[in-house]
Amino acid sequence: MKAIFILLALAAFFMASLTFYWARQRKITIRTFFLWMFVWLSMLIFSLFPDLLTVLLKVVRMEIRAYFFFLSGILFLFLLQFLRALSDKRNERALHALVQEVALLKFKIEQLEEQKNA
Amino acid sequence: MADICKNDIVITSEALNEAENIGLVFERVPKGYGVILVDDGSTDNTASIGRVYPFVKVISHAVNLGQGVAFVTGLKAAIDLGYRYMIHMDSDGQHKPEDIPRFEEALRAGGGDIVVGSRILGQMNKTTFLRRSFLPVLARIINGITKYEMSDPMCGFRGYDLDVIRMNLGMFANYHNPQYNAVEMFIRASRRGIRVKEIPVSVDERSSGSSYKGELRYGWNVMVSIIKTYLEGVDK
Repeated sequence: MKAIFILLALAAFFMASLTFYWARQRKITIRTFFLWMFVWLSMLIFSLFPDLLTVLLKVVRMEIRAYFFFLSGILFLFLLQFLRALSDKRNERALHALVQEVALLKFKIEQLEEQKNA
Repeated sequence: MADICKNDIVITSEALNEAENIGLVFERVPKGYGVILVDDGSTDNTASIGRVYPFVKVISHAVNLGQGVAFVTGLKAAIDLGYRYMIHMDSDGQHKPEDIPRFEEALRAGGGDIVVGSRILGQMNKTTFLRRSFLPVLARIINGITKYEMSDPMCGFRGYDLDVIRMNLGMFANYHNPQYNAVEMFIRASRRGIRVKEIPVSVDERSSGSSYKGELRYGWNVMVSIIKTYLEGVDK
């Protein structure tokens, strides 16, 4: 086995363990956990059994490995960007609601204090 | 405010760093009207200037969220305080406070749950060619979707019957782009059967400073908001 595959397998194993640890610590969401576990496990499997990649390339009718990695990398980045946009919009709405609520509550308190003083 | 102002109608306005204009606007507000000023995260003394006037109540956003969100904050405050009517105007001096009684008159006369000021029916002083050309096109598009007959849907000078609006607050939630909320509001309002009436208003140039809206960006974002809201399909 080539050294590069061993290195990749070790990196994938390390990252998978880290992802698992973060999930247990609840530092990442369950969706993020599955997304990244899929990436690390794929990396691990293809590093340990490189011939599987040749089979996969035949299935998708690609002849050069680099193309496959390039394409799957781009697709994965698109998916990440899409998920990030969704979560950004959700956070933005939550932030708007919170700032509005705080402003209105503060306003109500000021009104009550004014009434008290009057 | 309750002692010196009418207790069923209020004016709301949002401001971001409008210290130069806001005082001039408040000086011109006709007597008897209370104002809710939403300070949208200003870094100058906009809020302090607002507090100088006894008929003005100031609500402050901790951070800048944009005009659309600040408008909804003012709307919620007006509803919470139990007002029946709300008149919304810009704080940059473009809308003439002298027009406020005509909005009140139109709201009390009925026939429109939202009374929209029209610069086309009234007067639009010193506007750009781009904006003057774009507004009628935009009105046609929005009218086509909503079946309203508005000549100037983007005018921010509007009156609201809060008895109707409070039952339809959902249409102000989850804007696709809060900054360009007018188009989204009208499309959603039409789906809820809310009536719209227009009155002529005259609009001046800003007293000072510059607007935060670039012309082309504004047009583009408005069109995107129309498409997104139209595609919602169901009433939100």
